[in-house]
Amino acid sequence: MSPGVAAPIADLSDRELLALHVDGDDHAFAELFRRHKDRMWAVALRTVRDPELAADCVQDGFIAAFRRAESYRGEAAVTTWLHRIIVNACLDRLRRRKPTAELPEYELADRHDHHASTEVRLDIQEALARLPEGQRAALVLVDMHAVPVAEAAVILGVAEGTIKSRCARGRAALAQHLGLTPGVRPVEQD
Amino acid sequence: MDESAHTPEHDPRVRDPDGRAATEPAPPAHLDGLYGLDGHEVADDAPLTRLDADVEQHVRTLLAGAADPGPMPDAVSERISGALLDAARLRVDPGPLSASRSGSDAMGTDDADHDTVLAMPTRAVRPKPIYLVAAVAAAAAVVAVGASALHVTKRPNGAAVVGDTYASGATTSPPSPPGTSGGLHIQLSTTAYTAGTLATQARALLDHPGQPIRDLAAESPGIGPIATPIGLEACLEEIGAVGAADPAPDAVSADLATFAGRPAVVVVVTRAGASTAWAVERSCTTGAPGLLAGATPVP
Repeated sequence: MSPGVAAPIADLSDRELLALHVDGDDHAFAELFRRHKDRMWAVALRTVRDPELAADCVQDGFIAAFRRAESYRGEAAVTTWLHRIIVNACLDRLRRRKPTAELPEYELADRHDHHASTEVRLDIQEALARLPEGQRAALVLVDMHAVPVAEAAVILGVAEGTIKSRCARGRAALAQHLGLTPGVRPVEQD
Repeated sequence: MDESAHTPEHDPRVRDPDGRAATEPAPPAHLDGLYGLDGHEVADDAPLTRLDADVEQHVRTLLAGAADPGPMPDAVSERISGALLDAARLRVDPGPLSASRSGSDAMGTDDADHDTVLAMPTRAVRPKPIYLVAAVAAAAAVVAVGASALHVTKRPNGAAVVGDTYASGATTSPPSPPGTSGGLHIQLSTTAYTAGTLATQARALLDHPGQPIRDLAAESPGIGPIATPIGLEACLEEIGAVGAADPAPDAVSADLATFAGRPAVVVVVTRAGASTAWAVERSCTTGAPGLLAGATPVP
């Protein structure tokens, strides 16, 4: 890709856009933001469960990515790199507020909710909120956003085995909470 | 997805997001591992109770079908876009120092990307950025002296420039800074000027000016007052490029770039058809010219 080529910016790959941004292009990063903001928003909101906090996290992350774009050397997908920055921004924010506040009971909008399924989904959200950050972040990436384990490991900066164990523990906790574990009564909520 | 969820492995080299070593001791047995949903968090390093495969798959299915948060709300999108615009206005050519910084960061090869991200204050509590204050001051200065053609725009080549047109200083133009006529152009670029090529590179600056720097960036900390008409004028006076006894220049161009590998400003003053270039440090001002290359005739 030559910077001089007048290809529509929307046709450029993420890598090309990031390279253009590093070279000083005014519009390249805006296009990256446009492409990935919804996915990053979803990851952040599912991780921190608070729209205001999620907005702060996504903003922190995108600003960090904007300023540190030259640190990207193309060894992973741009989306992986962005995920990593956003998720870490979320975890940083969560750690900062953890001593004084629990995760809010934010109910994710669900355009498909009907009858009993609504209850199950809300139960899942509730159970997710009680998982340790690491487990929740792993489940959000792997099970909710279909991110491969290896990529999730890169995003969270841990070993693949750690992702697997966190997912396994998180799923087991969710199963218990939902009453899916034989012999274990689901926990009654207030 | 290739995942064997029943084979938890802890890597002793890593720490989990809570800062615990992954191999730290498990919690007491009475906590029974993961069963902490009654108000307690499930320990990340607790003993793992294996789920029946069907149950696990059911949980995964439920998670995959969990509520979609939907697109980013417009208000959030606009807010972040605004923050990115602010960041863009602060972008300057980092100069050769950037090479050593970027060279150590690689995706997945060090801690650069998973270190703590410096959080920006939330919009509600964010103090007014100092550069905005400076920008307002710069804008006021621009209005005061009438140099209205100050803009800042990043360019694909890494440049951001100032003054896209050379105002003629005619009566229809706003008044210019003392000592110059209306032809003022200030830009940011990645041009690497050298002593040996200064003359030809200065010619190229005159023949092919970049986009002018936006006024909001004119006094950002990374650029300095030399990117403002008043600041530039002070520098020009200090290096002797303009003076009270001299006729006003027809045009002045300033390129915030590098000279001999260091951040610098190359200024070119055109008077009566002849152009002369200087290279100065970006801090160039009254009493501290920071001259890097003296008057150099431009072909």
